[in-house]
Amino acid sequence: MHNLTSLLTGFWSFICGLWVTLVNTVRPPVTFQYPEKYYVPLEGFRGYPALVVDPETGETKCNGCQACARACPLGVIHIETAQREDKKRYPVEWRLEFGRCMVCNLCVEACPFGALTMSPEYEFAEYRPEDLVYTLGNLKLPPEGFEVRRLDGSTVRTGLAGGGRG
Amino acid sequence: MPADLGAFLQGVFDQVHLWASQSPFWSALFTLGWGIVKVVLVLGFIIVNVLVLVWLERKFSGRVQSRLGPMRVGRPHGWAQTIADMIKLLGKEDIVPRAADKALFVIAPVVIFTATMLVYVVVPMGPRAIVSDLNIGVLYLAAAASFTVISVLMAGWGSSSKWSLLGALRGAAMLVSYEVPMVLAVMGVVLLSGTLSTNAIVKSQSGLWYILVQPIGFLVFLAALFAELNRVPFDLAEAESELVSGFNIEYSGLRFAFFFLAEYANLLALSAIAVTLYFGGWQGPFLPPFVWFMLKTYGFIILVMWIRWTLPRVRVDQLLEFGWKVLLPAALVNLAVTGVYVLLT
Amino acid sequence: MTITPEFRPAPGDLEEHEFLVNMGPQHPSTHGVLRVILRVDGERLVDAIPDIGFLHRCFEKVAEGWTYQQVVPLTDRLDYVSAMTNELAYVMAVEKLAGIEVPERAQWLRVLVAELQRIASHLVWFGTFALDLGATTPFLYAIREREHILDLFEALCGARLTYSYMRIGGVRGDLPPGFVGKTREFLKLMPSRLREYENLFMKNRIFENRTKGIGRVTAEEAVAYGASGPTLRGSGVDWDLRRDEPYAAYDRFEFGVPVGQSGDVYDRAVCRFKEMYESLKIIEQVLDGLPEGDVRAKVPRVLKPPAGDVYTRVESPRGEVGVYLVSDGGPKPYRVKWRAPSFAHLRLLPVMAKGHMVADIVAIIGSIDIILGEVDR
Repeated sequence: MHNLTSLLTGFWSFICGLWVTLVNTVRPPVTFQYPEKYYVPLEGFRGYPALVVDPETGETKCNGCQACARACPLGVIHIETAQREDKKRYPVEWRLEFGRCMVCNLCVEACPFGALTMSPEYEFAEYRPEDLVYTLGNLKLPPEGFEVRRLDGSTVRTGLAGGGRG
Repeated sequence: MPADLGAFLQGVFDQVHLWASQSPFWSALFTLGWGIVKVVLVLGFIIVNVLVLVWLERKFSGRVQSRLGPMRVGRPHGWAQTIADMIKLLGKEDIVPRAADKALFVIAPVVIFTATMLVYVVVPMGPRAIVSDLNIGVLYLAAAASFTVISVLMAGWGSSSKWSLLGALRGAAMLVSYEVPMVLAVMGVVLLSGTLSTNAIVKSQSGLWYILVQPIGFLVFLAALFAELNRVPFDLAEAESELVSGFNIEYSGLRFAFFFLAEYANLLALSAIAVTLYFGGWQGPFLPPFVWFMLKTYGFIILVMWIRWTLPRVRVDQLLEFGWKVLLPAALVNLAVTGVYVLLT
Repeated sequence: MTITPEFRPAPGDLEEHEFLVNMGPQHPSTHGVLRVILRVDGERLVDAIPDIGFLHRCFEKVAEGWTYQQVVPLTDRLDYVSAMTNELAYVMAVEKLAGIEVPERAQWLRVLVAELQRIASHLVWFGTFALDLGATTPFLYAIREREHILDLFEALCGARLTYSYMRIGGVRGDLPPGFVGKTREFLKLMPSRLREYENLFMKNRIFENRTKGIGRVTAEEAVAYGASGPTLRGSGVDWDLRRDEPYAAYDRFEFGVPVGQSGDVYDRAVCRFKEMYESLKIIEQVLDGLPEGDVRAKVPRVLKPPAGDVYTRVESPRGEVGVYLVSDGGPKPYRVKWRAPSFAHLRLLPVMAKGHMVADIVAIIGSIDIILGEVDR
């Protein structure tokens, strides 16, 4: 008798499981086709450290103080600077070995001028490893910014001129 | 129109048959040719359905798991995914492990596919659409279906891999514990219908499907079916998370495709048998018999997939215990009750 | 059994009816790159010897060359399924060493993310454990629900796995807009989903048969081998650092600690599973009473803690994560020793596995929830 009840409860547990899968079959899928539909990252997503462009001058805010390079645990940031006529320094070369970067945000926090932010891009695949070394040319963020999501469901453009959240 | 076409083909067939039967030579040739035509028809039926089934399984499991399933190859809903997969498998390198027993390794996929095809001989897809209406159909079924295990053993042993050997031995250990209850469960149906011929069993269900009078027998049959099909919860010979892939771990390319093909062909065949034995086969109102047969078979396959994507896997000793201590007594009780009922009426 | 350097049994060590099977390092159920050398008699295990080191990345040595702040993101990479608790253990050690006061709000936020992380980690465990036992579907459901937490973390700190959120003296940033509302939504959704998991898997008869009485560890053995977390509690030892040695802000919250009895796979699994309900309770209390204030104390950019050593430990989803930190007064740690719970639990594997079957070792490995990144460091 005990065996029979155990058999029946076991059978019932299968029915419960089948019911759960049935309920979930009716629910809409949560995945989507990625390249056709782009995943919009949330605001503040850390893609790669990028240089903020000053909206007035069109140049980077960086003056080459090396604070980020010192803060970087892996030493993937290399900056070479030159001096302008008005004695202000500006970077002539800004190199990020992104292949080794671990996107820890320490450089962004170290920058005293808000010249660095995290770009919300996430498609980094390259055919050659050399292409993963980002230089001044492709480290500057586009002035129009990127579209990002917020948790409440709205989409906004990142205010890149102001820099990312510390 | 299909009825007219059928009648026309029937007429042509009868004419040729009549003409051929005039001389022994032409008669023999006609039998041979007609046999080849049947084989080609069955093979085509299997391949087309397997292509659909693999897609259906992936799509269904996707929906169960809140995923989309294949979407990329072929629109809408990735219908050409299986075809792409098949072409990919054909292009793969054919690897035979150096330590393998080459003969066994090579033959095993052929054997498993042949064993599966044998089952189709007695599947009635319509009143006349049956390859051969054997008068010992059910007995033949039991024999042919259990043949796959031999191939599993050959593949497991021939691969000369420890994992595949474990898988093969599991398959062999399982065989007896589910095959006996399965046959005993089917015997209930045989007792009620009074015949071993599959087509006659379908015909005897014109009033009442046997699932309604044989629910316990059906459940026993269903449980054994999962073991026969090597599906979760009884996919012990494959057991992906334990034995990696079990008996077919060393196979690649075309040979692996054969195992894959056989697995789904087996699913279709045994589902068709289940429909034949318990769901009235091709019988049904309004629609043509073949359509009814396919509808019921696919419905049953969905049920099998639904269970497969819900339950975890049992352990091998638990399956043996389940087979001998639960399925066998249940099948025997079912048989005894059916026997008494048949005796009284 | 002795194993030669070539990983063959010593001559004459195997009985005639036994053979060795290499489970891993490429095996779907060893949760990464663990290799277990199985000595089997048919399907029955005579011995199981874990072989680790395939994911060794020299964490402890690398940490000696980096400044105190720089090590924080590195700790993410140890137990990558539960990065938040790793960071917490490390920054607590540095704060204790340097005598830094952490603002109250930061402490509460730490509890909040640690508990969210615990649920996320247990969901991964639940899914992979089900996968090990042959049920594919619970994995996808668990990952689906974990996505809610990862979304929250993405909004909070910009990453979905290696968060780099804890900072010495607090946390990186305050909650982003919409975080509290979204978390409350999650709190409302999750209990019903957990009940679904129960119906689908935890109460399933096949699951019960597969796990009850398997891989049994007595309380004495568990303590002797240094087990902690759900692995210890599954054996009936009522010990939880969050309650018995509260850190961060854990002494402010009410929560239960699920304890098992028999120390088998089933009890460990149930302990872990019930912990998710308790974590939900803690998160709710955090959201209700979150104090205002700073989230980060003022810490000098070049941090030079006084010479000395310190040990801190936190209750990670897997057990006790301990950090032993030695300072020589410089800007870089002199020594960082990481006490990984998974490592201690893996040593229990031969004890648990003996006498069971090949299929059971998969369930046992699943039940102790090892992360190889943490074992090998």
